Amino acid sequence: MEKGESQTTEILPKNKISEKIIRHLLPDRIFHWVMAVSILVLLFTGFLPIVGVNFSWVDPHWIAGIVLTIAILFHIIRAVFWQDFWSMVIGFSDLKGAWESTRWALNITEKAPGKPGKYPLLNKLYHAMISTMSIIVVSTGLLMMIKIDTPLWDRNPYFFEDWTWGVIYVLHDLASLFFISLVIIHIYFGIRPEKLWMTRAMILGWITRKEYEDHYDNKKWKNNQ
Amino acid sequence: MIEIFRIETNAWGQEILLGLSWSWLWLFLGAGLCFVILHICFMWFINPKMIRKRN
Repeated sequence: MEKGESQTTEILPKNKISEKIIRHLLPDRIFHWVMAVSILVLLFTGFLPIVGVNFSWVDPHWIAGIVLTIAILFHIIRAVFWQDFWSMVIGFSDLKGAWESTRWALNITEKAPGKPGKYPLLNKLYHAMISTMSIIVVSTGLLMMIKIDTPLWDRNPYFFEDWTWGVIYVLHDLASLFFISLVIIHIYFGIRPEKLWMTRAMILGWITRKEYEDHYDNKKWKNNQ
Repeated sequence: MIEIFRIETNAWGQEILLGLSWSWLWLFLGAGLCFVILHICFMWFINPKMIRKRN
């Protein structure tokens, strides 16, 4: 929830079905797509040489890494000071809601579960995975830049001992590999027909009032637009 | 048997850890693709018959 938003009306008038509700503001959409492009560049420049596609990959790789680092710093500052940071944190109510939803969907119980807020549990879990891997890959990537020549410094491969470099590389490799699976799954859900309204929201920013009412609890995600 | 790490021996005969073995690349790529295939199968065969939907 953005600061200053208030609760919506609970009854949906028919003439408001196509009314637009802002789901992602412009800075958040720009962040998402900058992160997406930089991660794709990092994956292709990082892994294509390993599978035999040889090209000069080091410069585009570290430049994309710097872009990703700046984007993530921007996102963290924005999430802490301008957005509701806790709306993305997994809590007990998320787990309880997921348990109730699963039981209801499988016809184990007749008690209908409540709808989630702006970020359902699966969104939060994916965000937690991406955040963890991003922190690992960015922090180790920045350390690895000590070993390459950049416009700001000359390489110093002796900055750490061999064993320390090895651990840094293992962590960077592991987090990068997780990104392969996570990106495939993310793109897959982004192009699934029933999820296209969420992809549209990440491009254009809005969802319809009907999509809002269908998928979210307006007490948990308050929006007055 | 999949190798876990990339290791080489330096000029003094010591083993040096270089990183994670690139064999893992195919495992993570396969895991992502398997998830997609399993989800498509779930949505195609199981979801319409067994999963209750909201009105």
